[in-house]
Amino acid sequence: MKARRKTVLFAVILIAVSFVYLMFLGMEEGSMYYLEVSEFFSKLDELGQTKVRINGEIVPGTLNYDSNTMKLEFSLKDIKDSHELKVIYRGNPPNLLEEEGVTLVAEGSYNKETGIFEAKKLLVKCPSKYEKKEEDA
Amino acid sequence: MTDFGKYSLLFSLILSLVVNIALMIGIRKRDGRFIEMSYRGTTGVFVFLTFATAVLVYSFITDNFRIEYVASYSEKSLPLFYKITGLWAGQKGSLLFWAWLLSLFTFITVKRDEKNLNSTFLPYVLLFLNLTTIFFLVLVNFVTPPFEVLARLPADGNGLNPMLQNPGMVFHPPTLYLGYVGFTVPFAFAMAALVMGDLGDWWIRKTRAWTLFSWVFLTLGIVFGGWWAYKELGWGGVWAWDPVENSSFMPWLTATAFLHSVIIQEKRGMLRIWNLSLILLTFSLSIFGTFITRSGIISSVHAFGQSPVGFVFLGFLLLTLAAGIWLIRTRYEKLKEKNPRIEAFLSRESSFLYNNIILVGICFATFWGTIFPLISEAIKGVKISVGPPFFNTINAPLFLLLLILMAAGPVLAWRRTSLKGIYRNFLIPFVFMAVSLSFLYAAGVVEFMPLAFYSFSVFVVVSIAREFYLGTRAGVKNRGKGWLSSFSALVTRNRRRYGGFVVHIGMVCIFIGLAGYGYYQYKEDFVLNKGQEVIVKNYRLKYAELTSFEKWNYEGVGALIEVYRSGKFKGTIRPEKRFYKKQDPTSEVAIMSGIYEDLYLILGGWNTDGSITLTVVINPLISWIWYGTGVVILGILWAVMPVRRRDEAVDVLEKDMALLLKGIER
Repeated sequence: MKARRKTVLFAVILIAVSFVYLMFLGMEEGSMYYLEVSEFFSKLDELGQTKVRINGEIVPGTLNYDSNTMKLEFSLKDIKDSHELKVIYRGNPPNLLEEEGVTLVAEGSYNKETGIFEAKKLLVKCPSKYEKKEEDA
Repeated sequence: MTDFGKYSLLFSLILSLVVNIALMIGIRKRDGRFIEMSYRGTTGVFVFLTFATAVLVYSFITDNFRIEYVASYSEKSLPLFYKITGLWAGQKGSLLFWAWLLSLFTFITVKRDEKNLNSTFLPYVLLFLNLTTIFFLVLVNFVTPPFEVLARLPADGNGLNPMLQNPGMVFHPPTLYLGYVGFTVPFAFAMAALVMGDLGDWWIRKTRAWTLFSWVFLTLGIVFGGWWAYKELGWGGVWAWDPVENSSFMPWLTATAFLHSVIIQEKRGMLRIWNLSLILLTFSLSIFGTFITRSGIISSVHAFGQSPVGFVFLGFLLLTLAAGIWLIRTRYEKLKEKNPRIEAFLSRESSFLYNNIILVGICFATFWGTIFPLISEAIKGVKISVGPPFFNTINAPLFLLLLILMAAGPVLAWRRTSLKGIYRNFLIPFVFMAVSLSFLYAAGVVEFMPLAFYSFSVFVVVSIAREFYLGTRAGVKNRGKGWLSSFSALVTRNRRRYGGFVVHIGMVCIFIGLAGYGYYQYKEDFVLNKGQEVIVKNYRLKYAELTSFEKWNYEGVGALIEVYRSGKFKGTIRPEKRFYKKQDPTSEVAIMSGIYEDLYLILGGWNTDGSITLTVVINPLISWIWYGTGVVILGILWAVMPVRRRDEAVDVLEKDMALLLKGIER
């Protein structure tokens, strides 16, 4: 009986250990700096080529999409003003991007030579899932 | 009219406070009159809240834009259906709806047992339900008052966000709330059991139906959310591990664990502390979810309006957790298990135990990933966010383990399983699994994870089918009846067991769908001129023309795409962009859904020369998620249907089981 209970314990420990291992593996693969535009600029040197997520607001008037080359260009800034970061993205622009002044998260890396952030993924924040925007109030 | 709503809310709050005082006096002095008074009071709270809710719905129907909430979420030309559902379109209405549901459930709980003289537990249960009600009533009275009026009457309302004008989104919040609120009842029973120090399984039996009911609504709520995201958000997926999504998923995980582990307590009297902790955790996580979504503390792509409500929820959460943990600690001596411990590495109990560990593990990983930005900011001063790869890396193998347990669970015996028994029960499903595995491999499914998911799915389905078969055969042998009547006798006599199997089959379908879409989604962008064709996998798509049209609240532009699959014309579909009169424009995807795969088209934009950009997504097996959910619901419905002459049925069943086991042993 004792030995059997030990096997149960062993199974539980095995699950726990593989769980911890998976957590580490997942953190390696999935974690990224999540920065505001100004934070990004202040960390530019130490970041290098690492992939990061940048949260910012599209600067009105900078959004440009060339549907022939599927190149999307825009600049991001903090809600509170900051330097502007130029971003390019290849592919269909996500839904809701039509609106200017929208906030989004761009995932990708910074190209030092061109000074442009090359985004691989764009996540647009639903502007008003449940709550209306301030100016409607 | 609005004053009626406002005052009946205030009155509900006063009444619920009276209920609480009456309860406390009644419990302390053991005076039945006070207890009875509190029971009546709950009816009053329910009536007044119903009235307030009705007033708000009526205001929506009659376009009473003086109410700020109505003006924000409705407009004159909105279809009636969406006007009614405006009740939960925003935060203020949602919380009122939540409070109303809670008062309804409290009312039902009281009505079910108030005449029962043995129900000494009811005052305690009511105490916890009522405290929760008070919390929500304070919210709707003082923090998020739904009946606030505007100083100036607007000509028309703002209208409802077009993305919310979709059946998936209409049913997503209320089903989720039904789930959340439903778990308040078993939570209250658990806390009552703790306070009374009566820690048998009575509270589990009493709340079995509530638990299943709440679980199915929570499941539905999550699936509706995914379905809505798939149809409306236009990125081709159903789940993105966003904090807001995670916050509905976490209570589901602990609830699922609870659903399983209570069976162990019922059958073997084990895991008492664990069950109490799980229900406490489930309730706390649903509150935590509300805190995350409403406080905006963790950045999410779903930006809810940020308001102090989130932190009020945090306070409530901490209070609940503190009270729950304190209660468990002080009753620890009584809770310690006198009953047998789990004996064997392979047994029904241990498989339930592993199931629980894995579910809680998934929950913990999800929790960790969700709050990690906060942790890293607190410790390292910089936000590190954790994306979908984290969740997939860790949760996919854990889900696979769950699937394997689903396969193993029913064929393992209670207490201990002999190797011989394992061999006999596993052989047939194993052969099926091996055959399907080689077929899948030959068909090009060569990656480990999908291969494992699909072959174990086969294992689960076959072993469940075998259970049905063996049970029926035992009936035929022992009572000499026909196969059909034996089958129906089998499944009606032990509804929970066979309903549970059906739920498992539904979950397998959901896994199949998730694995298909998760591992084999295909996505490509195109620029197409008018009349141009493009080949994607086995589809040929022809861009016929660009059309524009006008509807009651928007103007749309759509691209007509002719779809040919394997050379055959399958129809024309039209991905659109919609320009709303009052809201931001959106893309409306076009989906051609099938049992094997969905073709999913997104119109990116168009140029003056008539060319368009089109994103083509192919999602294999994704519709299995929706079918599977249907099967899950059927299984749960089967399980909760009341059993007539239960005791006799159980006796007969136990005899059958004994005979069946004998038959297997031989």
